[in-house]
Order: sequence, then structure tokens, then C-alpha cells
Amino acid sequence: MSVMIILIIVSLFVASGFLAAFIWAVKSGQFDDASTPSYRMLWDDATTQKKINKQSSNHKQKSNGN
Amino acid sequence: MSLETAQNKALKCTHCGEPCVDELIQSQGENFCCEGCKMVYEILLENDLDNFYCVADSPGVNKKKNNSFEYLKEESFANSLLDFKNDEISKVRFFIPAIHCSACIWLLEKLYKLNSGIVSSRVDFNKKTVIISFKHNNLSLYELVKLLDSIAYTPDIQLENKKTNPSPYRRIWLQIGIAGFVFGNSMLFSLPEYFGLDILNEDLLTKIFPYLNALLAIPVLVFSAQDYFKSAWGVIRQRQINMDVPISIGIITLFIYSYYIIFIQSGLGYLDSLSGLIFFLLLGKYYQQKTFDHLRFDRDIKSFFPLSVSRIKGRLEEQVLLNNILPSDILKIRNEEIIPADSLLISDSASIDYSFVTGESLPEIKQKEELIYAGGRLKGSAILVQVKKRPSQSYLNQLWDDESIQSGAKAAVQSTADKISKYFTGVVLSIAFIAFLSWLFIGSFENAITAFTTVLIVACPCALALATPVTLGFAMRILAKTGFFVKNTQAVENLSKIDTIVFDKTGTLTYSDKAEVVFEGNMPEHKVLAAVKTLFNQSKHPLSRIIYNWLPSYPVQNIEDYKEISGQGISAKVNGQIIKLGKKEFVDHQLKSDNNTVNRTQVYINVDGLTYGCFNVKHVFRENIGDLFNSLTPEYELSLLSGDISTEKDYLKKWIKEENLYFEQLPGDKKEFILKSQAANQKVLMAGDGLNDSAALKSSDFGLAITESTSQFSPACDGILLGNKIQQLPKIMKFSKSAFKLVIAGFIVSFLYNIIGLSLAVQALLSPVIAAVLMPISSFSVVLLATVGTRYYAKKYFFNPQNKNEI
Repeated sequence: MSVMIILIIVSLFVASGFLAAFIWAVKSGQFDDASTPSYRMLWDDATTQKKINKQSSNHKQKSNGN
Repeated sequence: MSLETAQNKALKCTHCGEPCVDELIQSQGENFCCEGCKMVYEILLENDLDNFYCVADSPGVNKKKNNSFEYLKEESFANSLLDFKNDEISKVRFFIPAIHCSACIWLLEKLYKLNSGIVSSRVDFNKKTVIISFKHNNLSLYELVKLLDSIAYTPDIQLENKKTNPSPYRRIWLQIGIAGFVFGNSMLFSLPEYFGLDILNEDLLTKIFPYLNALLAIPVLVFSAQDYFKSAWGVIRQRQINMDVPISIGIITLFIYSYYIIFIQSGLGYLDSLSGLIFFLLLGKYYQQKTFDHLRFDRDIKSFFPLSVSRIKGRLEEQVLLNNILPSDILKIRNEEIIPADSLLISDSASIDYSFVTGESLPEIKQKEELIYAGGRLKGSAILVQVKKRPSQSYLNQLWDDESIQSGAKAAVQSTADKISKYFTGVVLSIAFIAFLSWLFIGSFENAITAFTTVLIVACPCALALATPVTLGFAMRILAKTGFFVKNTQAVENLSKIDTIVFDKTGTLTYSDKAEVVFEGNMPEHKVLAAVKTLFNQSKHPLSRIIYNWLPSYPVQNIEDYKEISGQGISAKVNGQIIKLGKKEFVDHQLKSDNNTVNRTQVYINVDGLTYGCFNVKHVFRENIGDLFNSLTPEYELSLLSGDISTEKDYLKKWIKEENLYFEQLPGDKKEFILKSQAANQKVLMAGDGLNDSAALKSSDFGLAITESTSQFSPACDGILLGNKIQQLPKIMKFSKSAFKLVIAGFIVSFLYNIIGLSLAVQALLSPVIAAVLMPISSFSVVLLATVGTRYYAKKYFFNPQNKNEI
């Protein structure tokens, strides 16, 4: 049963490691902005269906060739 | 002219969505309101960034200005703005006020496509900041700022903004994290006890586990529960009491008792319950903070109350929303208007009343080139100012909201929740002690402690405290969407209890910007008329505005010694002549007003003692005034107080009892009337135009200002209704009543939960953890009731709340 003692102490250390990581994450500001990422994941670079509907034609004519 | 009608006629700019009023530029089949917007559109198209216009509808920011950033070319100054710099990469953080929707985030995080020198950019939406990493060998800070400016996201560069303030939530996250960590571990150590396991080596484990628990509980008590103790101690020192007192007593009792069991009786104690309890308490608190923040954010960022101001552009004067005002804009401020932003005085002198800000009622005299601070109210002739600092909507909202600094404000009304919670704490404490003593009497010390602590914890009034602000906060949001802006939640509560409505006539029931004007007497020569027109332009009185609009255009004259006497008239010295405009007896003492002919809608002209004649203004009633009265009559007692003579008596008699029609009332009489009704225990709503009846608005239970445009912002009122929405008044009243019913329902839910919880707790049937879990659940159910309920009533009375593309 003495193995229990060792296991408990080890588990406490592991858990404390996680707690320390959490405290560090909070202090370094990783939780500060929780709203922007929720918008960031909504778009991609691919041409969206909406855009195709919106600009049905003549979009490819670039105004000034560069 | 109201803003909206003009906007509906004009084409909308593809980039910024503003109506193309001044000019219309068409390019590539799209419409633009100015060159700036067209330019931004072309830049984005060129770089394949036109998806910007798909993320949100017309998301752009209007770009009408060209700013100079020459000072950024200086190396040392530019470096002082940087957050980080090495051989290759620089990092800088800009505050960009224009960030307002999801498309802004999208575009600002695509900056690397616009210039290869930019490595990455990240937006923090709530703070309106963007952090940009760039290669300073390819791109200087000056060029970077120019680039941002070219797409209309001009950074607001201020040196003192360099330090960033961390989120205020960091503390509670850490508290929750630590409490959660200890809670989990303590439960593991207590498992043998939960299951009554005797298989373990008793000597060792039963000793070690409790001691580990005792050790782990210390940071929870010292750090996580700290704020409860602080708050409780603070109020006890003032010989007051709040809900943190019983919670703190409960926590300390549990802690001491558990230590007693562990170290004296070699038991396990309740420390697992204690950390669990604090963990759930904090979760509830966090949830509550988030809810309040959400409501506040709504109010500030979405500019709950769309203030507009008069901006001077060249020779034109335009009404602009406050949020679109930038530094160096020129604003015109009229008598009795609020200074919307810190600015420099351009006119010669001004007298400004800062009573809203400082409580000092004597006006301060400011000279040309002096700085005037936002929140003051102009007394006397109109002035021109140059904006120095971006106006802050939230600051003005605060002024409107802050009861303590309003001179002659209403006596602070105690909200229903305050009244209840005052008794609540005392009752809870006595129940806890009675339960404790009863169990002692029965002879179970353990049960006595359990009952005592769980009573203290389970009776948390979180739900009680949430019901009012959340329900009424949502109600305020919905009302704002219908064009009715309420000062604060207390005002919504007051509105729901109204039983008497008093109307002012001029500008409230009649159009304040439309009227028929006829001149009677000898028309003065143009020179005098020019002076008269200038004089009328100084005043905000509805009659002045009407006659000003009616007179032909003249060049502006210089005026001195401007005076405006409420209810009488205005006078000033122009080109060496003393001009008086106003009531008959005001402009000329010789002219005795005989009561038959005196008409309050006559404005007399007197120049150097010679009376020329008068303007007859015939007001036009708003449409469907009859329907408004008909729908209000069954539920409310209606009265009308008017400054005019009783010409329209017969017309109004159809809806309002004759004994409730009062004419020829001075502002003081209106106030007296309201005080008299209040003395008879009536709850009075006064509807006026918010200008010459502010005393009456202040003394009423709910002062409603009805305005044509939102520039006439007067902190004296509790609510502002747009003139064209006056038909909505009966629905608004009904809605406020329903909203208050929801608050009561929230109280009932909270009480039911408390009664059930307490009855179990006094029998010592609840473990402290269960008590703590019940708390956030009750808070959540009250918030749910508030949101679902207000939405239901909004649909019933107004519309389907559409979630437009807003954040």
C-alpha cells in the first residue's frame, strides 16, 4: 500500500504542473481576448458563394494592369 | 429635416454605407460617397481583398480626411512607439478607433497581402487594437501608418496609450483555477471516506489524506475566497450588512470546524466541500460579472443613445453622429446644449454650466482659445468649438446616468430589489443561528455546523440580485431599438409604475420643426431681419428654430450681450441696436398684455424700443394624435399643460377631460402641477420637449423628452423618444409593465429556490457542495427567464428582433 503514497505524491506534482501552466497562461495574457478568435474562425480565403452571387460579372477586369 | 428621410433618398456608398448626399462617384458599377471611399475600394480590389465586402454589409469606414504623419519620420520618436525590435522584426500596437465589425478584423489581419513588409497582424476586437509585426528594413513605421490611413483605419497615436491594461478578469480566472485544482484533489483524497472504504492501510492513509487536504485548503481560503472577506469586512466596518457577510461566516466556520476535526479528532473534515463551495461560488460570480459586462458593453460600444451634434463644414451645418466626430472638427453648440467632447473655444467667450460634472451651479466664463471639457452645458449664445479629443459616448451616458451629480435630481428611488435584499441578509443570518441552536439543543454538534453553514451558503441572493438589472437591461436594449432611449434600469422600473401622464403641447404633441408662420405688422428692413435671424439661431427654443427656418438666408451678424429668459424671450445687441424678441410684455413694457389677445405663439420684434410687429406661429399637431390619446385613456389619467392660450381647447376636448386641460402655464406652474399630483400619490410621467420644461421633467417620476433629433440631449430627463415614434408610447408603457412583471417572476423563482434550499439546509440534509452547485444554477435560470421573457414581449409589442450583422 505504500505505493499509494508515492503515486499520490507524483500525481500531486503532475497536477501542480498543470496548475502552474494555467497560472502562467493567464498571467501572460492568453485569456485576455476571448472574442476576436470567435470571428477569426468564420472566414477563409476561398472565394465564397456569397461573393459569386454578389459580383456576377466583370470582376476579372483589373482596372490597372500592374 | 430629420436625418433618416434624407438617408433613405440617397444611394448608399458601397464602401462605408453612408448615403451619398454631397457627391456621388460611380466607378465599376458601384456608388461611392467620396474619393476616399473609392480609393480604399480600389486598393482592396487590386489586392484581391474585396471579400471584405462579403464579411459584413458596407463595412468600410468613411475616409474624408488626409492626415499628416510627418512626425513619425523621426527615428527616435518612431522607435519609442514600438513594443519590440530586433535586427529584422519590429512589433507595434496601434489603437484604431474605426474597428467596429467582423470585416474590420478580417481586413486588418490580411495586411500582409497589401505589403510584403508586413509579417503578421492580430486584432483585439474589444480593445480596438491591432498588433503588427513588420520588417523594418523593408517598411518604416511612417509607411506602415500611411498604409493603414490609406485604407481608412487611421491609428490613434498617443504616447500614454503605450502600456496595455490586462484583462480585469485575470484575477477571478486564477481564483477559479486554484479553487478548482484544490477541489479536484481534495475530492480524490476524500474518496475512501465517501465510499466508507476500510481496505486501505488506515494508519498511513487516514493520517496523510486529511493533512494534505488541510494543506491544500490554505491557498483557497487565502487567495480564492479573499474578495468575499474583503467585501464583508468593508461593510461590517460601516455597520452595514451585505450578502458577502453570511457567505464569509459560512466559509470561516467550515474551515475552522474542519481543522478542529482533522487535528483534534483525527477525522477528515469538510475541506473538500469548502473548496468546491468556493469554486462554484466564484463560477456564479464570474457568470454574473460577464452578464453585467455584456450589458454595459452594449450600452457603450453600440452607442445606445445615438447622440448627434452640429458639425460645421465650410458654410454648411450638418448633423453628425457623435461617434463619427474626429479631432479638429468644428462643432456648433447652442444655448442649453451639452459640450460633447473636450474642445478649444473658437468664439470669443462662453459661459458654461458644469453642474452635471462638478455639482457647481455657477457658470464658468471661458475665453477664446481656452479648453472646455465635455459634459458642460452652454448658457447663452451659440459658440463654435474645435474638437481636441474624440468624444466618448460612454462618458456622456455616465453623466446622464449618474444620479449623484445631478443638481436638483430626483430623490434616489430605492429599487424593489434593494428593498428586499436589505431584509434578506438579516433573515438568513437569524435562520442560520436558530438552526444551529436547535441542533445543539437536540444534541448533534456536527449537524448544527452543517445546517449553519449550508443555510448561509444556500441562501445566496445571486438570483435576486440578477433579476432586476438583467431583465431591465434587456428591456432597455429592446426599447432603444424602437427609438426610445432610457437612462438606466431604475427608469424602466419607474416607467412601469406610472399611472398619470402629463403632456406639454408645443413641440411634444405638435411638430417642433414644422409650423405655419405669418408676419403681422410692419416688416423690418433686411438689415434688421439679418440680425433677427442670427439671434434666433442662438436659441434652442422650438419657436426660434421654426422662425429661423422660415426667414430667408442672410449673412451672420456679430452679436453681444445675448440673454435668454426662459418663458419670456431673447435679447441681444447687434450692430449697436438692442433687439428683443419674445412675448409682448417682454419686448415692450408699455404693451400691457390684455388676456383676450395675448397669444403665446406670437413672437414680437422690438428694436431700440420700437415694436415692429410679431410672427404668428401656428403649430401643427402630429399625425394620429387622437389615436395616441384613445389608446392611453383607458389606463392612464391624461392632462395637458400648455404655455399657449386655449385656442385648441375644443380640438383637444375630444380626448382629454376639460378639467385636465391647463393653458397659459409657465415652467414653474408645470412643476407645481406635478408636485401636487405626486402629493396625491400619483406616479407622473411628464412628456415635454426637454428644453423649457426641464424643471417639470426633473420633478416628475419619469421625465420623457420628445425630440426631433438626438442632438437635444438633456440630462434632466429619464428617457428620450424620437418625435416620429410618439405613436409607440402606449406600447412602450405596456412593454415596461410586462418587463417589470418579469422581474417579479425572477424574484419568485429566486425565492422558491431559496425556500426549498433553506428547508433542506436547516434539516442538515444538504452537503455544502450541493448548496454551492445550486447557486449558479439558480442564477442561470433567472437570466434565462429574463432573456426569453423580454424577447417574447418584444415580439408581442414591437417586432421580431432581427439579429442584423452586429457584434
